[in-house]
Amino acid sequence: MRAVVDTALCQGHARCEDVAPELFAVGDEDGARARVLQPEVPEDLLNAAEDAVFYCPMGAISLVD
Amino acid sequence: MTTTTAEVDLQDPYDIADALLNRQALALPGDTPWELYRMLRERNPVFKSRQGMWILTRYADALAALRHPPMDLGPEMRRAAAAGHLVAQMNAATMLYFEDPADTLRQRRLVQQAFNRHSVAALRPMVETLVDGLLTENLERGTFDYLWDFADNIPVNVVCELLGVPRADVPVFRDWTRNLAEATSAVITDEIAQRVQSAVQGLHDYFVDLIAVLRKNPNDRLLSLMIEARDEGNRLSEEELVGLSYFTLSAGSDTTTQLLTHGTIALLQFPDQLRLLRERRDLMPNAIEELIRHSGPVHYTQPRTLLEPLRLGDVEVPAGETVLASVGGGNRDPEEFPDPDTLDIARPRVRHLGFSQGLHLCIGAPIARLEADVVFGAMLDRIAGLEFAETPIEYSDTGPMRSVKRCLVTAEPA
Repeated sequence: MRAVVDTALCQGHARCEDVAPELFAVGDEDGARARVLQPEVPEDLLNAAEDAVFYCPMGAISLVD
Repeated sequence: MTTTTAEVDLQDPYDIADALLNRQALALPGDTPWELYRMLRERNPVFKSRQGMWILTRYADALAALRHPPMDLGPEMRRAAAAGHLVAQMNAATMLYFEDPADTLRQRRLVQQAFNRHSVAALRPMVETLVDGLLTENLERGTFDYLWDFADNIPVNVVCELLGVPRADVPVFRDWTRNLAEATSAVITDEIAQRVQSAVQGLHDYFVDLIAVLRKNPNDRLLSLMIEARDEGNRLSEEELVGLSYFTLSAGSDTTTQLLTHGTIALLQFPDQLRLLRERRDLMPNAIEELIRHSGPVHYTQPRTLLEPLRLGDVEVPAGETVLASVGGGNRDPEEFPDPDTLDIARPRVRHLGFSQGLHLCIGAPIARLEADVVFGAMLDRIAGLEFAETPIEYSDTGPMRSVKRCLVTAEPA
């Protein structure tokens, strides 16, 4: 599974960083967007990655094969 | 089952819907509110009430409604604001909650720095010290009211710390928030109205004064950050600053107090789960999500008026209609959560609706989680045995949150 952020949708809410800090980071600077830290999601972080998809207010995160 | 109250026989879906909308249902004992949601979900999952409000009790439908972007949360609130109600004016200035997506985003981005992972982690030592002191005080008493002697003191202190309200002013804030909580009662007596009005005025004037002080002597807390954000780019108006401060307090205090109390009640009702948590402290984050799913205090969200049609299964709800997402109904939908009435702290994938969803997902959720983590952790460390000292628990008719009236417990120190 690969984690992908649609930067056109992302508004930098940083909910992904709250629930999956190993996978996503959002800076504090104005206009910051989520960055994917590990595109290939390890097995043990799959649940956290799915949490990030669920909690993203913009629906900007997807997991693709 | 047939649930009867003095006024209505709750078998008819129209009566159930009325009981939910007039908040009567939330005051019913034990698991009754969830039984009502189940009756609606099984027979009328997308149901239009007598007042014309659509009630959504399936998880998938409630989630779809909360994520449906073209919605207007505020027509009633704006009418009340125009009519001169101070609470409504403060809320109407707080578009995190009520206004259109563009304004919600603009305000969220200004305040979210205070709610990010690092800011929230920095609050932990303060919360730990606070909780430790409160536990010491209450353990000396042995029997105490978990709600009013313990839990109620925590969130207001945390919100004041977050905003940058001086510690010395916290007690008066606590009195205001207690009085404010009555504003959502089903029946507002003149006496309640007076207390609420006086608390609202007090908070409003306090924030106006504090903003003036912080403008001259800024600090690194949320209110100061919001003022600076405003002053640099003229982005938050004075009304917005007062409204956001008020909103942070009202959204962050009573909700979390009730979350801690409902969570503790659920753990006492499922002693096997409390034992499991004691043995498996690594389950704590998941246990907190499960406690919010199973018995979180918020039972439904602000009604939303659809700007575009919303398809829910076989039904298309037309634009212009108002929908109410039943958080309590969705969180106990067996399609999403098997055996939903059982508390299971090891339950996988507890993606509940307790913090809402989509654009209006609770911005303070990480702080509520932090407070729950510190409180439940400290209780496990310091309390060997906890029991109800009075049952049954009574609930009040405030909404959209179900509020415990009081919760007497007896605690044996570890």
